[in-house]
Order: sequence, then structure tokens, then C-alpha cells
Amino acid sequence: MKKFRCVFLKGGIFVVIYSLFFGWGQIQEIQAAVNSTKAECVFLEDPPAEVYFDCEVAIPDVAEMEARPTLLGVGAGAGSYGLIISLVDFVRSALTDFFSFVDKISLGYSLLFYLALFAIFFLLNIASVVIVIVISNWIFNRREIYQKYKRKEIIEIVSPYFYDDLDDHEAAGIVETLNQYKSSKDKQIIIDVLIEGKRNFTGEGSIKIKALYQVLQLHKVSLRKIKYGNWYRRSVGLRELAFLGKRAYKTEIENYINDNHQYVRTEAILSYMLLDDKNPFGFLMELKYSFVRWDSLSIYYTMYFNGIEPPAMAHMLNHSDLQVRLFLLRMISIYNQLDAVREVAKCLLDENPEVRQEAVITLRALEYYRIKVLMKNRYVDECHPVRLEILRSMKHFIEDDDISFIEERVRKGSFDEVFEAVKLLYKFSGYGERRLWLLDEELEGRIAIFIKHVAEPRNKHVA
Amino acid sequence: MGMNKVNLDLSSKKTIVIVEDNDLLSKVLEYRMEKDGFQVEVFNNGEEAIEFLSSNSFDLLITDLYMPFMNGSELIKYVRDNISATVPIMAISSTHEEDVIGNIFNIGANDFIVKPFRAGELSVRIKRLIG
Repeated sequence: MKKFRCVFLKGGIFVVIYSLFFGWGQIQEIQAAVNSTKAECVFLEDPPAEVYFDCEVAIPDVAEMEARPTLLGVGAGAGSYGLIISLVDFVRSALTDFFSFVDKISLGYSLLFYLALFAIFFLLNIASVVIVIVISNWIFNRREIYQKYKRKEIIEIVSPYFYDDLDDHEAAGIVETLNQYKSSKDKQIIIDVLIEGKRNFTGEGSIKIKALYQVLQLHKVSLRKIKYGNWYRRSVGLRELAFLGKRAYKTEIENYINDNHQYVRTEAILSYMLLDDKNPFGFLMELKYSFVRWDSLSIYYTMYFNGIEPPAMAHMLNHSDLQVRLFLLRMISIYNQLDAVREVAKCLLDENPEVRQEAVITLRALEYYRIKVLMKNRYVDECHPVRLEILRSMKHFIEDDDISFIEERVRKGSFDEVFEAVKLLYKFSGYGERRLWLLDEELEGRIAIFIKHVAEPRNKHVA
Repeated sequence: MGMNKVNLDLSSKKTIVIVEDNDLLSKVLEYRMEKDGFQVEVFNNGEEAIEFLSSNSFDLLITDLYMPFMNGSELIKYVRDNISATVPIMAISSTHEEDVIGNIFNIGANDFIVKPFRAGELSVRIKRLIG
């Protein structure tokens, strides 16, 4: 219906433009012919209308008219041609009237009159705005009162449904009562109440809520939103399905993981996770759009608040999307998935420095000390941020045989590297500090400032 | 320390005060407790509840932690300081933060239940507290 209206409106605009531009030329032709004939007939004053018809006017005959291109196509008939003429006449006369009116008022009235007119228009304008605000407020209040009233009514009916000891007869009565709410507004209120119930109750109550959603056919309301709504309604529909629906709707939700709208995509991802808690990251393999950083936070909190168990992620670390790889590394780190260490170590060779840096951070979090050798070997070829992360990671793995490696960083490293290396050595027992002062002598006092900084008790939190 | 407002009249129904801004949750709890034979008073926030708690006796206070105007922690503290040091108090919240939960017990709550919970579980806990 909406599309039909749109097409109809566009058609109307096209007719007007066509009649103004193309019909205008034809009118000009006819007008020119009439004028030339008028010139031949000499009258002292305007002749009566019927006289024109006596003159030989070069008006094109019907056959010729039919041959002309019209809006309805070549040879569409004199009827459509006449319609265009009358339309153009109407527009022309309206414009003429308007300009004559403007002429009249601009020449015929005083400035005071215009000021008064302006004041009246101004007041009318304000009055109309106030009326619109009052009416919208009234409508909004009415709607709110209605919703509150209905919500209270529905909560009253649904309350017993959350408990285990409800018998079948009572449950059937509740379903029957709720089935009497037919309007879409009422159904939406029921859905909202059920979602809230699902958020607050678990166990038997939660299962019953899902059953009620199906029995009342409310899933059809949500599916309709997803299929025919705008981005907001699609998002709401997806959320409803995720909270109240069953696993079977996962296939429906999958279609929106690559939706045009970012919010819908995010909502589809979260819904997918809620419906498929055994493989919550399955959507990652379906992604066509780039993964957004913000989504990773939403995913984490959805998992946290809904108690979703983290799946195995190592096999997805070769994902083509950079953000997905970074996200997986962070999740491996958060959930301490030590079994993923081999795949994470492979990320130390990733072409992207961000991934390599995140891999070092993840390995540090996993405290997998054997990776130290690989990190040290990679150090020289690494970029600055990754080097710093490697040095920070050494803190967990430092042993006697690492001293020469760290001293090398103190001698040759950049400012940040020297700083990290000094911190490392300082914390490596009393020997580290003594060694640092010896190094300072060797380097002619160049690292004294770093040692003093690290040794300063007030810098404990920085060090 | 204020006057102890615990209901000692054994012949009357025991009174449970629910302070919860979520109308669905408060209604569901109210339904069950009335069915279990308690007298129930429901308030939307701490401020409203204090007025009642100060002038009436009650046997159990169930409060949400996050509410407008006066939250659950403030209410528990107020009740413990000014109304009753012994009346059982149960806190309800969706928070999993250990600091928050620890603090609730420190200020005087006797029990804490995390949302979402089994509707039946609450009845069991209530009976344990005032049974």
C-alpha cells in the first residue's frame, strides 16, 4: 500500500511536469494559430465567442492530435490531449491570479496593513504550534494511560503463571483470557511483559513464558516486525525472538546478520548467540560486513549476563576479518583458554601488527612461559608496539638466561624499551638492581634517571 | 538505635514489605506471598517504604538494590540504623559484582538473591527467614 501510494504520487508529479513542459509547446502552437487568425479578422472590439469558431483557425484536427506524442504514448487519443490542455490552463490561470493579487496588495495597501497582517500570521503560527503540541501531548498521555492500564491488567492475569504449582485448568484459563487481547497494541504489551518476566525469572517460569509466547501466536507478531518493519522494528523483533523464541528461529535470524543497517546486524548477532548457546560464535563464519569493535563489547556482556558458556575459538583465529581475529584473541584471554595457545602463537607471525601485539598480550594473560623463546627470536624483526608488549610479557617469564637479552635492550633500545627493560631488571631480585647500576657505569650514567624513577617508592604504581 | 519494629503478634498474619520498582516482579511476589498466607505491602522505592516502615510493624523486608530516589543499600542502612537491628532483610538484584554483594551483607542484609531466579526459590528462602 505504501509503495503504491509512493508510485501514485510520483506519477502525479510527472504528469504536472510533463504538462508544463511538453503540453506547453503544443498550447503555444494553438495559441499562435488563434492569434494569427484573429489578426486576419478585423474587429473594433472583442467579437462574441462563436465568431472565433467561424474563422479558419489552424487548430490541428483530431487525427493530427492522435498522431502527436502524449503522456499516454503516441496516438493515445484527443481525450488525453484535452486533459493536458485543461491542466496547463489551470496552472496558468492560477499563476496569473496569484501575480495579479501580489501586484494589487503591493501597490494598494499601506505599510501598517502589512505589519498587522504579519502580526496576525505570526500569532496564527504560534497558535497552530501550540495546538499541535497540546494535541500530541494529549494523544501521548492517552496512549500512556492506556498502556499502563493494560499492562497492569495483563500483569494481574499473568502473575500466577510463573509458579510451578499452577494446575492445567488454571493455565488454560490464563491462556484463554490473554487470547482475548486481539489488537496489536495489546499483543505488544503482552510481549513486553513476557520479556520482562524472562529477564527476572529462570527455571520453570522461564520455560512457561516461552510456551505462552508460542501458544498465543505472539511469535507471528515478532516475525512480522522482522520481515516488514523499518530498522528499529526489525531490531525489536529480533530481540523478542531471541528472548522468547525457540532455537528454530535461528535460521530466520541468520538472514539479518548481514543486514544493511548496523543496529539490525548487532541485534541479529546477539539474538543468534542467545538462541544458539552451544555454538554462540557460529555467526562469525557468516559475516560479510566488517565486524565492529563495539559489537565485541555487546557480545561479551550478553555472554556475561546470560551465562553463555564460551565456545572453542582457536579454530577461527585465521578469520579473514582483522577485527574478528582481535576479538577472538581478547576472548581467549578473558576466558583463559589455554588450549588455544598453539593457534595464538601462530598469530605472532600474522601480517598485521595489531594482531601480533594482541597475540603477545593474550599469551601473557595465558602465562604460557614456553612461548618466551619464540617471542625473543621475533623481537628484532618486530615493530615498536609489539616489542614493548614482548618486554612487558617477559615480566612473567624472566629467568637468569634472559638477563643478557634484557641488558641488550637497555644498551640499544629506544626510550620506551629502555624504560621497560630497566623495570624488568629492577624487579628481578636484588641482583637486578646491582646489575643496573653496573650497566649505568658502563653507559656513562645514561640510565641513572630510569633507575631512580623505578626505585622511587612514589612511582610504585607506574613501575 | 531506633525502636525494634518486629511484629510480635502471633495471632495476626506476618507482614512482608516488598520494595521494588519493577511492577511485574512486585506483583508476582505479592501474588505468591499472599497465597502463602502473608500480609504484603508493596512500594516502588525506598522513600515511600520508609514512611510505612517507620510507623508500622513488619516481619520481613524484601528490597531491590537499584531503584529511583532511594536505592536498596540506602534503605537497608536506614532500617538498620533507625528502625530495626534484627528484622530480616532480603536484597534482590541482577548484579554479580562481588563488592556490591559483600557490601549488602556488611550493611545488614540477611539474604541476597540474584535475578533471574526461580519464583519458587524465593518462597523457600522467605520461609527460612521468617518461617
